[in-house]
Amino acid sequence: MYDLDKIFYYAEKLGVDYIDVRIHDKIYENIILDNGVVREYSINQTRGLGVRVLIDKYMGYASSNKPGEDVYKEVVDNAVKAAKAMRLTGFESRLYPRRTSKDKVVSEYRIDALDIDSEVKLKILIDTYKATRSVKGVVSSTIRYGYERDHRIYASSWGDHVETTTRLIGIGVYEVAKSNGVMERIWDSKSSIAGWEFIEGIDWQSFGAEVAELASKASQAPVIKPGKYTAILDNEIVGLLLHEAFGHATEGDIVEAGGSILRGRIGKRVASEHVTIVDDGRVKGGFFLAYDDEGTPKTKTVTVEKGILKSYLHSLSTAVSLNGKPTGNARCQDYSSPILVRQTNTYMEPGDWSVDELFQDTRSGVYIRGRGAMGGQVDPSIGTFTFTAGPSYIIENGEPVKLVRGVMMSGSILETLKNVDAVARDLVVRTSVFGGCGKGGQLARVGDGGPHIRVRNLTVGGGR
Amino acid sequence: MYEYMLRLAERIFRSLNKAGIEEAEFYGSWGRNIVLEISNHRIKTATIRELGEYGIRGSIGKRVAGLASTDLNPNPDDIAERLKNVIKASPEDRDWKGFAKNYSRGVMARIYDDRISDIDMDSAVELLRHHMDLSVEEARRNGAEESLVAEGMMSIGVGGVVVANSDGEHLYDEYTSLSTFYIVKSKKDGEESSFTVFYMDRRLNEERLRRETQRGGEYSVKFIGAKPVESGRYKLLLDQYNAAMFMDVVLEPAFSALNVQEGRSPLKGKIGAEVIGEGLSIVDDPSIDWGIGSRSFDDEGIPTRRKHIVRNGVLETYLYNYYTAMREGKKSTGNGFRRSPASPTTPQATNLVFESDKKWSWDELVEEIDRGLILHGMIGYWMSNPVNGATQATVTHGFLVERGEVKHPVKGVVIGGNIYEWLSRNLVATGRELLKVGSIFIMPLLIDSVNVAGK
Repeated sequence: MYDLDKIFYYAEKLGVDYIDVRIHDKIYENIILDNGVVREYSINQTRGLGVRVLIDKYMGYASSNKPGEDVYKEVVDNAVKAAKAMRLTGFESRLYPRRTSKDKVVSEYRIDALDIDSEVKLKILIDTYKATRSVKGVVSSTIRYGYERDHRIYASSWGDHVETTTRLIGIGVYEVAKSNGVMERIWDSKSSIAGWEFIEGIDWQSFGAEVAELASKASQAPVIKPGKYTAILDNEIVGLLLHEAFGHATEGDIVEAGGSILRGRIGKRVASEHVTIVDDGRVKGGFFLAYDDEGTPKTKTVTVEKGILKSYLHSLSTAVSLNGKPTGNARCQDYSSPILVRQTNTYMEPGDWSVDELFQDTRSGVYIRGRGAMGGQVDPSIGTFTFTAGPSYIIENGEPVKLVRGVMMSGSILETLKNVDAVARDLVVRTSVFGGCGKGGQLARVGDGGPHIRVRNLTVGGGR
Repeated sequence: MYEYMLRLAERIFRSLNKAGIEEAEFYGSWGRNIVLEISNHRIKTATIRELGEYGIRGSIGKRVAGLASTDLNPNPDDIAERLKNVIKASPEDRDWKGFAKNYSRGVMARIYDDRISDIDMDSAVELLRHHMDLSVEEARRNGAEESLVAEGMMSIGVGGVVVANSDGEHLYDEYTSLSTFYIVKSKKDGEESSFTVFYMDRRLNEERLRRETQRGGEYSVKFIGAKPVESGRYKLLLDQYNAAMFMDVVLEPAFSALNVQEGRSPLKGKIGAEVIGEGLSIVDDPSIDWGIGSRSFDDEGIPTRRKHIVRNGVLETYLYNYYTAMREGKKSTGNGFRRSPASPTTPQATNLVFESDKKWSWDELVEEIDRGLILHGMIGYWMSNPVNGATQATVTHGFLVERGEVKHPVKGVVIGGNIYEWLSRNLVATGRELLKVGSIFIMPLLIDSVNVAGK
């Protein structure tokens, strides 16, 4: 274990103006049942020390997981070396002086899944696998279990000391079905900030069979005809769209770098009046982040209120450079990674339409579904996005009637958000233990969601 | 670090043996990297990162499991006990024939550049600053009124890998790597545009680095004024960068024997059949100097070798690791690589090299286009589907070509089709210049009848 007092004392002797320390210990249990065979059963442990120093406003990072009592000295020395090299670049960093944080937080759980017998876990996966293989047309079925216990200590020379432990658990299924020579794949999962009790509370066989049936039906479905559509987006795809296409452009470091289409637009209209977007570290269903990796409490940040851009997301450094306030969005993948500004749970606040009303009011169009969606990508500097949705439905006479596959939507995010003309009441936020958000080579657990919404004039293309 | 890892492996094997684990393999990797982060045309942070990690997989009978850790000072008896519990809980894999044996090296390539391993922090900062400035100069030369490198990073350093098994065999290797990506933004005539530079190499190849960073500057300006085109069917000219990205996502996974055996590859049952155009061949080649995928042994100690996957359009072999080869009573092709240290290997290509008999110049390819798009940049291509070959992306940097003439820049349209059609009946011609993009060596491809969803 690393001795914080020794680290601070050593750094002070080297003349650093500020130091913060991240000590990280994470365990990830991963089981992959591939067509009934355990392809992988692994337990991965990440453990190490990362430090950041400021010397004359120049910032340097270093990290190591080497063993040895004096390794901390090497790490601090390297951070000092890195900070001094920053003098060549002239980039000065200032940190927003916020109130000191001292806390210990453990996310809610009842049963630590590491205490559960491996056989019990495997039985659930095998039963789920059997349920998927009973579905006609399924040619391949992979069931995956993931459990993460992430323990972080953050301490700084300002006196911060925050210790957090977060548990995230889930099961996912990946189904490939074939019909008349056409193969289609669907991945879906359910995860929660919880312990083993989450797994016990869900009928995984029904879940697996549902996904397998959708893959089978999708393999028989036609490809959507490319063109412009009036679209109803479900909760899941709204979350994906907001996170990727909008959320990244609100991240302070991207704004600071000049890479965001939202730079200089605080107080301006960026979406229709129906749209309110928030970033919230503690929303039900999402990932749980009580403090960020700079020890700043994560609260609910309204980035867009009734279509008007209100705030970016900040770290201590971007809060200074962009004249904002820290929002608790400074995050790093692990001890070895530098701080980036990251989203936590991004979602749209619910409106006042019922989902039935949305369909009844939309005579024709497409109902774009998130289940089986592959994700999306955006160029935040110009706002162009592209998303591959899951199997979706053509809407005729106010009803989703015909399943279609290969749905890929694209457009400009600001134009798309301005074309939102109806928002339903049914807010759903989700997270995942199997993935997250990638940025700068780092992965962060996130959540996203929203209610059903309607978007006019959406470009939809498709593969074959 | 190599000796440390090897001693750690020996200590762990002794404990595994005591615990009754019959067979085991160890995979260790380590790295020391300088990572520089760019913001607003300045280097914002510098990081010196050292990481060592390892994985152990063990078996009892036909039950197998793995553990991985970054704890470099573990209690080997604890590891053995934990691994034994996980192995015992795993159901039997009837196809399990043990871990790979008879470690040796196959083809050799140069993968360690002293100029990278010896670089210090100040020199790394200078190197990046110089190339950022080259991008901006090139943007200005192409008419940009303002230009900067908005954000991105560079990582430069040394890595190593060691594989060992409980029979006392081991192999190790060390390599260097340089990777950089950053976004160049430019303004011209009141409009903004950007382009992402992305480059990886095993050596400090300043000529290529200059080419990439200057291209980033030039292309950050060239697409100003881009607009969508009408929906329809177009010819599509893929430059090497975008061709490589599609091949990496849609085609390469289909060659994996595991995906074939598990019903996730459209190439199942097609050995000996024509799967792409007869003028095209695809080679898996780990012997290329400075290739990102060049290795003398794979992640389970099997020697690597050069082989045709597809010769003149006909599928000759899938890519095998030890496990998938044993399932079919074959020899591994030396393509077993790991997703993470505790993962089993899965079959993956080393360097994928495309060969073609239709070698047209770039100008000849453009002249051949009656109505089409040239693709220089896209997003969302990674959502294409290797299970059925469905290929799609949104164009961010393209040109409309009519009757052989470039008309205007294009963005915001979705292209779609199927990779196997693109590489066979829809393939009009291939370009002359083979370019290394990551671990793929490919030429430009001109494809007919591509779906475009636009205005």
